[in-house]
Amino acid sequence: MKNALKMLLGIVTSFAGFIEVGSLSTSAQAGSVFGFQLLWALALAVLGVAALVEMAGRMAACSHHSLAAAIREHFGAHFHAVPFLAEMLLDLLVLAAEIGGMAIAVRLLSGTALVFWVLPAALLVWLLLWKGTFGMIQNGVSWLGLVSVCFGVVGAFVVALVRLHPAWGEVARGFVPSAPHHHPARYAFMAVSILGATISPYLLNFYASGAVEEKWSEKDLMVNRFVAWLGMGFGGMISMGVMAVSASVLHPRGIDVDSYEQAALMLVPPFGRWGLVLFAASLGVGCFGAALEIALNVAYTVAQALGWNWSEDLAPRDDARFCLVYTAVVALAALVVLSGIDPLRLTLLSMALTVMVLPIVVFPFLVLLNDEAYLGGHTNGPLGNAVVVVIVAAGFLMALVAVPLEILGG
Amino acid sequence: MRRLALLATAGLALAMAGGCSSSPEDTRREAAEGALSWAAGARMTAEAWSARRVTSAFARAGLEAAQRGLEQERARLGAAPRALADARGAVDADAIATLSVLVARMQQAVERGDGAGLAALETELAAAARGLQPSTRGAGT
Repeated sequence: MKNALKMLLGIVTSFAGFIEVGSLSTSAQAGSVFGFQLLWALALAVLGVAALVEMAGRMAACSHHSLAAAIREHFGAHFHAVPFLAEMLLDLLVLAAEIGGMAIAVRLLSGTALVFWVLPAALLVWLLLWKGTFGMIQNGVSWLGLVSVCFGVVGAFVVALVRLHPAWGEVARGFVPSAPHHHPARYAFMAVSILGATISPYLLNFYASGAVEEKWSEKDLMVNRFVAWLGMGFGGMISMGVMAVSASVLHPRGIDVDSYEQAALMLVPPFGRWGLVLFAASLGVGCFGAALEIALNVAYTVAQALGWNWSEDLAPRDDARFCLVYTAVVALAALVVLSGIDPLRLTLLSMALTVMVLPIVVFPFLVLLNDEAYLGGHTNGPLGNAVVVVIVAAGFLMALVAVPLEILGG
Repeated sequence: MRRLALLATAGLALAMAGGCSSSPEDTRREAAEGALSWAAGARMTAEAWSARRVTSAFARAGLEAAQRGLEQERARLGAAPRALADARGAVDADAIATLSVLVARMQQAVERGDGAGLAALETELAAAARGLQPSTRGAGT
């Protein structure tokens, strides 16, 4: 019974954490520009992230190490500096995008300027981190996820898709990779952004750190497997719903999503006046959960890399440096949004950059996952290794061409 | 191994150079496509507002974003004199300017709560967008 509850809580947390500004905006833009044609990229990304999250949880349960701590211990501080700095920079950009997403959700409903909502959004995130414990935050995100499911907030996209009666044959064909009919460079950039939005390095370390905080052991491996595969699977289904709804509503009208106001229109035909509210609520709830996780992950990673005290369950006076890190990163992220960078561009670019950084984070992690000193008898099999290597390498190669083209305006 | 790395680097550089040197025709086509997308978004926003499916605040913000987007497309064309020198480029620049003005007027109509005025402007917007239509992939405004 306890295990079932743990599993349900974990699944809802993973699934709630999956839907955030990156997955919403990349899926909405991909659907509006290329119809159902990029569903394969999302399916591939979900497979990759579910496999990696399961591995991160397995490593934490078997070795009681989070990702950052294990890499530092095994490869040394000098080697760890590279993935560490890369992840810090990315986490800052993604956190800025999430805080921007929370502010945009309020702007969509109120029509007021974004700048008014950035600081309150950042303050809300910081306040919960300062006052809350890991259990409270995890349960909070779970409850948010559960409420979202019950009231149809995140499930809205799947319901909308059913109500829109798309051509299911065309939807199914989207799962088979095919050459684009137009804009090949943008197609590759979108595929890369989808991979980056789904396979976020922060998710791996956050998940493993959570497992260490909860003192998982080898007895929890089954729970870990269910949480990783079902949580990520449900999350992926919602992202596919976003892409398919955008493909059904915006693509036929010739609207290529370039602003959140355009994206929000996708739920208006299926839900009428509730459409806008549901879109804003999905964006706001998803970004809030993700912002908490990313800020906490930055603090975990820095504290683990430098050997400081770290736990979200300790009072701020007992791990002051840990608290200082999340305070600073939330403030910096708010400043990035306030600098006036277009939030949608910031999101898409940080998602694509994630894919370029992914090998630096994932390959050392894979080495550890094949090391019996850490995993005992639970090391990776050849299939798990192959799936991760192929997805990460393919994404990296595509990003190598697509990101410079997009940045240089090709 | 070194030769392979050199070949890969050269291939990448060629791909980037090929992709980044956008011709005047590419610039014109991209600006027209962008403008059509913003105009389509503005029409959908206006329709939703007329049907009382979105708030006035949202409609105003959506139309403001569309107008900003149209101005960016106009600036993109303006920054490419070779694209403007072409007769088609000049026609497109005029059409985008017209769309931008119409969207600004739509925003004012929403502010006044003028549903009938907005419907008339929507029709004008659709007609102006048709001036750009043949040059793009043909998604429908």
